[in-house]
Amino acid sequence: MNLADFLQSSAERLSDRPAVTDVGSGGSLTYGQLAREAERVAAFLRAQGVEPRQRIGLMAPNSLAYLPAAFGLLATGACLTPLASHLTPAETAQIMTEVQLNGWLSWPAADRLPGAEGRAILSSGACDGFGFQWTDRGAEGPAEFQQLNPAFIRFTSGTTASSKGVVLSHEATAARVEAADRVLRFGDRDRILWVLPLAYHFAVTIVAYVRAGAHILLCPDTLPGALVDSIRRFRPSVLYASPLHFERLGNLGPSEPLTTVRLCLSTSAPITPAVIDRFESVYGVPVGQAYGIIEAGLPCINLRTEGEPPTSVGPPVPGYEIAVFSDEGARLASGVLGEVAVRGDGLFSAYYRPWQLRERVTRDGWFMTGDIGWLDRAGALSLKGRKKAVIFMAGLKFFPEEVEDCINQFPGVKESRVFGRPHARLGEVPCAEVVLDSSGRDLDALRAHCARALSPYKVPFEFTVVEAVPRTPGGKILRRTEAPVPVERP
Amino acid sequence: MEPDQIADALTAFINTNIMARGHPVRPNDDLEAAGLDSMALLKVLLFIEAEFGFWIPDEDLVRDTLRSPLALANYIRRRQSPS
Repeated sequence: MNLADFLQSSAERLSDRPAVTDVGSGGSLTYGQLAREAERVAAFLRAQGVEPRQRIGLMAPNSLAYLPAAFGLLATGACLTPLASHLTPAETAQIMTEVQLNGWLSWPAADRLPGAEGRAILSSGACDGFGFQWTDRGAEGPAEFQQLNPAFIRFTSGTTASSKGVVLSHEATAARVEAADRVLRFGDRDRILWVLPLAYHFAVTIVAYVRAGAHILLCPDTLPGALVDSIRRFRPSVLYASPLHFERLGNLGPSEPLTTVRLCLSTSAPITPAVIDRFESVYGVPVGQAYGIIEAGLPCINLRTEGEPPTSVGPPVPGYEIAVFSDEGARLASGVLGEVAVRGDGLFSAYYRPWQLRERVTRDGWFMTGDIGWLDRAGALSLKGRKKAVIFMAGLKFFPEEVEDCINQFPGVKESRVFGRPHARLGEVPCAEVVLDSSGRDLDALRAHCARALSPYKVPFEFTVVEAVPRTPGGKILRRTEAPVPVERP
Repeated sequence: MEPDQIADALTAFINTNIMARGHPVRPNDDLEAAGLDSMALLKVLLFIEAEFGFWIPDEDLVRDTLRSPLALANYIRRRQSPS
């Protein structure tokens, strides 16, 4: 199967109905147009020689063009590796190496790659000006990869920080969509206000909307006033956003109730009861939560319809099982804290680098998430922190090791420790402690070094010079989350 | 601090922490046109919180306030001396 078939089928049913609208520019594509534009991209890529199972990057910001570009790329059978448009050249180059990217499709403003072959330009339609370049055309990738039906490689540090690139098959993505849809019940009358980065949230939700024939409203301006204005003008039925968006909207009140909205779902970071209460009292719509994991999709959803506590991420959706295990691997009873594990058809296929099939990293089919949590008697999951240190800034997750590696490359730095300082609005803000080999080093130059190499959200906001970084008796850098952190963080 | 000084401090922060691999901005430059996205904006809000002691309230997060370092500086100055 191919996920692009979902678009084809919606286009046959709903050819003249709007598929996606940019609420900023007012531009729009119907399902018929979206399918034709995706086919134009697919034909362009095939003409360049793109073949199934090649790993092709897609670099573009949120825009109408993202959808035909992504579905066109998928339709060729190539494996889509999203490259967020905020990535630095160093981050892009790392992804290209790690997943042995064969080529990349990019929006008109993307930088040309130095040394890469010529860039072919698509010169008509919704993706006018997009370019394609080979980066390593002949790279084949692992033999087992060639046996899969891969749709996406989500480049991430993975749950273990050493595994890079999560491979998702067309079948697993379809299973995720099916599972989420059995709870969220998207239909062709739904209008979804979209504020999240498409590069990070395409695989389950956008595919689900397109399969259902819903109308996606891309909202480029996510400043709070503009967001409220878009809601008033476009009357969405679904708001799928991060806690920061719900907090900002809540702070703007008072407001008329949002009578058109049937579903508000918070994702990508823990949301606090205070933010939920505030939003609900201002807008009169309950806010649910979805538990998103790149390796597993959306295994739990809390719609708040069965009296689930607002802080819970809910029970597993159909097609998934959730269990909690002790460090010794014993399955724990409800109410007992342990590591959360997920099993189901929507699990990833493999880690790309180092290459590991899912079967090698699961136990009896259970994928260990690295999250600490507990199940209540009714089977709803609550999260209480992470087993491994991870920093969440405004819904974006990264591991401190990546930032430390960057800092440690700077001349004069002996060692460093990066940690998330709690912040009332952003969840956490990255901060660094550095040990220098001589006094008087230029911290501004170190900042600039990090800002050149890392996306803005990963660059530490504060650098503190220390004598030594704290370490465990075994010599590992002491992480704030060595003991499970309390979950009630924004 | 006068608005010009505030704008210079904001410009210096942006150029070191956000625009390190792009073109430096000047106090009057349009930040959105220079490529500052919503994530970069959060870094600017953090800087303002650290330097000037307040988080810009959500109702004031509008284009006019955020257009350039100087526009932000004028806003910060007004906040500091309500009259």
